[in-house]
Amino acid sequence: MRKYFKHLFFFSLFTTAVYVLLLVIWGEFMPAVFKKNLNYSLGAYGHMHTRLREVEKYKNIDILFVGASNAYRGFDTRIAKAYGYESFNLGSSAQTPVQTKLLLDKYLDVLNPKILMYAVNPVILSNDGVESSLDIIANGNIDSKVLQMAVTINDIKTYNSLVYGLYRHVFNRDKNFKENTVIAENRYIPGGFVERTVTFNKIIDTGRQHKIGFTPVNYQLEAFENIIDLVKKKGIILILVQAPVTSAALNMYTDNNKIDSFFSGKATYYNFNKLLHLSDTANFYNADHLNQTGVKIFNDSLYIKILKK
Amino acid sequence: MVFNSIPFAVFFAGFFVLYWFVFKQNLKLQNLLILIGSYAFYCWWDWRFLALLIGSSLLNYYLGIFIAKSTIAKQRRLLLIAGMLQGIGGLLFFKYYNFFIGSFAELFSIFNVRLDVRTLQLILPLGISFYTFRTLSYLLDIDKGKIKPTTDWVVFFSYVAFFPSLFSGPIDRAKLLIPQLEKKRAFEYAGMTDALRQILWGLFKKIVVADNCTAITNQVFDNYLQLPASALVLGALFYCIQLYADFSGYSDMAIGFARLLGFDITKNFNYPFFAQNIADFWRRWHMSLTSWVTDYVFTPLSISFRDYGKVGLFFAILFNMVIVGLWHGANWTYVLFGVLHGCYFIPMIIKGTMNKRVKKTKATLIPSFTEFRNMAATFLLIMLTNILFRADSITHAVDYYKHIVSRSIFSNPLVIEKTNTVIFLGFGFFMFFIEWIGRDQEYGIAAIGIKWPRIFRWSFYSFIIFLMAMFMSTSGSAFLYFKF
Repeated sequence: MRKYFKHLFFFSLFTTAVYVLLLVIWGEFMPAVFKKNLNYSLGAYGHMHTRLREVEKYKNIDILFVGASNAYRGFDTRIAKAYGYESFNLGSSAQTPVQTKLLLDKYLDVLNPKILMYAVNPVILSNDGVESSLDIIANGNIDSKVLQMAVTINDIKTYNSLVYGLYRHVFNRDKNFKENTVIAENRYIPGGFVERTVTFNKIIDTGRQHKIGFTPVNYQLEAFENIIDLVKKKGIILILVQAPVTSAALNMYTDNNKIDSFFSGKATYYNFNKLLHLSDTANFYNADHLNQTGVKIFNDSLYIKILKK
Repeated sequence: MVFNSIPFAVFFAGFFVLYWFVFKQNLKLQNLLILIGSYAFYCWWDWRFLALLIGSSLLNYYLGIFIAKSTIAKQRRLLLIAGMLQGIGGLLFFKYYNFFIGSFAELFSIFNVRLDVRTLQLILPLGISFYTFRTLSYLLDIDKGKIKPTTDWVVFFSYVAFFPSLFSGPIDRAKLLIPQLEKKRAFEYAGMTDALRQILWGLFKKIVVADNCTAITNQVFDNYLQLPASALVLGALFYCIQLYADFSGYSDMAIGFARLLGFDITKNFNYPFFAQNIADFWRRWHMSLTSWVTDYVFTPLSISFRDYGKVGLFFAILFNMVIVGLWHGANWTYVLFGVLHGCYFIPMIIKGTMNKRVKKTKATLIPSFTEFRNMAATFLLIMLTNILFRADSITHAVDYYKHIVSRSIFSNPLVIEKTNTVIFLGFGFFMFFIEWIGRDQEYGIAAIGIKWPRIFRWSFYSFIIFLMAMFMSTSGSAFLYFKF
C-alpha cells in the first residue's frame, strides 16, 4: 500500500509538470482550433489591454464606469468631460461582478471616484464569468487577486489560460505586443470608451426570440453584494444603470420587473429602457448595443436628468 | 455527483481512505461503510427514492431467505411471484405506466372511442432499472437453487445499492458480487494501478469523445429538416460514437472504482463495434443486460418454443430483443428498435449460424478484408437502428430516415461546426484505434506502455490527462444511461 501511494504521489508531481509543459507547447504552437480550453485573448475588441495600461495614469476622478460591453460602449468619457466630469471607463467584455470586484480592489483607492456608475443588466449575475476572466488574465497583470478570481470561477478554460498566461508573464512574452487603437470598426478613446463606426441595427423584435429568466449564480451575487459594501464603506455614490437595449433584447427577459426590483433594492437604480424611448434601428448597431447617436442621447439624458439632480 | 466531477473525486478519496485505512481490519464495518456510502451517493442525486431502494432491498432480502427455506413448491412459487410483482410492478409503475395508459387510449382512438385516461406526473427513480434487475436475478437464482441467500443484511443491501454500479450498471449477479462482499478484500498493487488506468480510459471516452459528440449529435437531430442527408448520416455516426463512448466510458469507470475497493464486477463491453455480425454485437454490447435477458427471458422462451423450430427461435429472439429495447425506456422507438434487432437475426437463424462463435483471429494491426467488411456491415446496421434509439418519437425517426434517402446524401456533410466536427471525429477514431490495438485486453489502454520505461508510460497517461483538460466540454452532460 505504501508503494502504491508513493507512486501515486510521484505520478501526480510528474503529470503536473508534464501538463504545464504541454500547455506551454500547445499554447505556442497549436492553431486556435485545437485550443478548445485555452483561450489567451491578448488584445481583443474590448481594448482591455490598452485600458488597463491607461488606468494607471488616472487618479481622483469624478466618475468611474464599470460593467460589461454596455459600459465601455455606452458611457462616453468625452461626453462626461463636456458636462464637467473627469471620468474613466473600466468596463470590459462580458464583465461580471467577480471581475468588477477584482478591478475595484485594484484601482478604486487610486482612482478615488466620487461616483461609481455601474452598468447592470440581467445577464451579469447569471453569467459564469469565464469570458471576462480570460480577458483580464491575458490583458492585465496576474497577481493573487486574479488567482482568487480563477478559483471562484472554477473553470478549466480559466485555469489553463491562467497557467499559460503566467508563463507568458514570467518570460515576458508579451512585451512587444501593442494593441491597435482601431480594431475592425472599434476605436479606443482615451478614458476607456470604445466608439464604433455608426451602423444601424437590423434585428427587430419578432416576439419569438429565446426567453431568459433571472437566475443569478451564487458567487456572482456574493461578489455583487461585496461591491456594494465596498463602495458604501468608502463613501462613494453608487448608481446602478441599465443601459438601453432594443426591444428585441429586452423582451428576451421574462423577469424584467423582478430584475428592476432586485437592483432598485440594492442602490440608486435607473432603467433607461423605461426612461428613454430610442429607435431600435436608428440608435443601435445591434440588439444590445447603442450606436454613437444612441450613446449621445443616452449620455445627455444621464447627465441632464440624473447627475444634475 | 457523477464520476467525472470534483464532488465525486472528494467523496471517493474520503471513502477510499476510510475503507482501506480505518475499516480494513473489520469486514462488517467495511461493508457497512459501502452501504452508507452507497446511500449517501444515492441521496446526493435524489433522496426522495431512498426509501424505495431500502424497501425493495428489505423485501427481497426476506423473500430470498423464505424462498430458500420453503419446502413447499406452491409456497416457493408464491414468494417468488411476490418478489417479481414488487420488482416488475415498481418498474411498470414508475417507468411504463404513462406509456401503456397513453398507448391504450391511442389504440381506442383509432376506433373513435375516447378514453378519459389520466397520466401521472411520475419521476423515474434513478437506477431503478439496474437495481431491480439485480434483485430479480437474486430471487430467480435462489429459486433455481443456483445460489444460497445471504443472511447478512448489510451484505445484501450493499449488493443492491453498490454505488460504483448503482446508476448505470453493470447489472451484477448475486453469485458474483455477494461472495466478494462476504470475504475480506485485499489491497493489491497491480490491481490498483490497473484500476486507475481503466478509470483514466473511461474518463477519456466520456469527457473527450462522448461529451464533444453530444453537441454535434444534438444539433443534427434537432435540425434534421434543414440539413442535407449526408449531415444526417454524419449525425447518426456521431450518435453511435457518443453512445458507445458515454456508456462504455461509464462502465470502465464503474469497474475501475469497484476494483479500487477490491471488487471485480461484471464486464459490460467487449469492443462491440468490432463485432463480426449482429449476434456477436449483442454478445459484446451492454453484456450484463444481454446476459441477464438471455438467462431469464430468452433461454426459458426458446425452450418453450423449441417445438416450433426456427420460427420458434425467431419469436424467442424477437421477444428478447423487444424486452432489451423496452428496458431502455417507455417509448415505441425502443420497441421498434428491439423489433428491428430481432429481424437482424433472421439470416443467421435461417443459416443456423446464430450460436456459432466468431473465430478468434490473431490480433493484427490491420484487419483482414473479411473482418473489415463484416465490421462495417454490422456497424451500419447498428447505426440505422440507433437513429430510432436517439429519436424522440417514431415520427421523428421516420422523418429522419426519409430525409436520409435523398440526393443530398452526396453533398458535403460538414455544414455545422465544420472544424469541431473533424476534430471530434478524429477523437472518435483515435478511441477506436486504441481499442483496436488493445482489443485482446479488458479495456483499451490496459496493455499500452506496460513494458515501456516508467517515464514514457507516465508521459502517455499524462498526455491523455492533458487531452481531457484541453478538450473537455465545460458545459458537461450527464451519462446517457442515467435516464434508463
